[in-house]
Amino acid sequence: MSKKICILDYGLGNILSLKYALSHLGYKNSFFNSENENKVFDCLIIPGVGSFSQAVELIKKKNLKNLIDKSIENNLLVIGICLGMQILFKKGFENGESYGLDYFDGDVTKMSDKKIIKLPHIGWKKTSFFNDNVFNHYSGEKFYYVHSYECKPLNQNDILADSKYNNKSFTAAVKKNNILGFQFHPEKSGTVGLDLLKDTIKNKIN
Amino acid sequence: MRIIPRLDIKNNFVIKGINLEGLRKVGDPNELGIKYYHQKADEIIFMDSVASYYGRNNLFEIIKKCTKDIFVPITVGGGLRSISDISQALNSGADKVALNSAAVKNPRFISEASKTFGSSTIILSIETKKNKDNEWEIFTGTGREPSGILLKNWINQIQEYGCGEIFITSIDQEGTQTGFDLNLLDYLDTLNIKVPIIFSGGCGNLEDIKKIKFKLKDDAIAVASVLHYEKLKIGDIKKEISNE
Repeated sequence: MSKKICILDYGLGNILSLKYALSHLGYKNSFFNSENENKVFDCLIIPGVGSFSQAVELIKKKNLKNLIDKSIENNLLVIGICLGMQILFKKGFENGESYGLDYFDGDVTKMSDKKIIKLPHIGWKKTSFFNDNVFNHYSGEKFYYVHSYECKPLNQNDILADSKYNNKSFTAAVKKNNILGFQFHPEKSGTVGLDLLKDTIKNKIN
Repeated sequence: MRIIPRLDIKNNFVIKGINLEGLRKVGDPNELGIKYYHQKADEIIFMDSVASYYGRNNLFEIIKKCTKDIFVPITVGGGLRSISDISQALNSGADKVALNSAAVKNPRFISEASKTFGSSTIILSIETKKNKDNEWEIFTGTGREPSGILLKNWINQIQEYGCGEIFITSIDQEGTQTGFDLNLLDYLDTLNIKVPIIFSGGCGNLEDIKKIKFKLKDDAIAVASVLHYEKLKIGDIKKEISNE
């Protein structure tokens, strides 16, 4: 049976590129906003460009947190991309301290280091994956990043991948049960990104 | 360093001029966009080269078509004047937008745009050359109209207003294939630039890439003529910078 993907539409960022990527891979997909609540799907993707507090606020205001909670409870695959990954954490520090959706323990803080002069960090960077048979063979591949903040998971077991900006490591992907987060944009990382997206959907949906 | 093909578009054709003038048709935007994607471009920039001059927005249909087959970030620029123009560009499949004339006319447009769409979505496009007082000045209307604003002041201002990247074209070098504007690059070094830049204008061969690659490690270059006239492929440039 063909897998159905739902893209959470809470009003931030370009969600079309994700749709095009999923369609290109042959997956049925649709947007989910608060108006079409009876959709059936196998995987929920949380995209996002914009600011942490604004995204969390919109999701709460539009009652979409329940949908994410329910998806997780029902053991569906939930994927956060870029800001969509960051808001899965407990706390963010963009435009002051604010609470996230709290599926991962840890903070989201501004990337800062003596070696880091330019933000946002934009570019294709080699990424290393750990301890996951689906993703391990992507280690060393380059993915496209654009972000100024980084996730700092408190539990090291949650870290699925890391990468570097000017020799400073940051968390590139996280995993906990059926929740995944990618700091990079698989939908904007060329053929390797599409392959990773396909592998994720093929192998990580229960 | 990111390598970004720049497609200047006029009336549904990719065009190329010298110093932003004397435009010649070089191909179909959709075909060239897909070709450069398959050559492993890091991103692609589509600029409507006459929109800000004549006040038209004809790029969206082109973008809608080719974003379905291109899976790297796409920037759209040229003639974007309002929040709803930007929405329309993003809804056509663009990931980022490049603002120029409208931002010069009303700098608050930058902060409005970056608050609405996130600063990483907003690129400021700057066309510059030295004026008769030997100062770098910014120009609008594809390099034709002097703004009276000095580059150094504008760079500070747009960063305060919250742009995520700065796309800088040297008008004197643009389209000449005689090398990047090294004087401009040296000058940019003296300014306080905290966001990545996309440096554009003059790339003619791999030697030109060699001269700038260390300075622009966290930044990007935009290239057009050498790709359009098939003097270089993106792979050649990537090989040149592969020891990054």
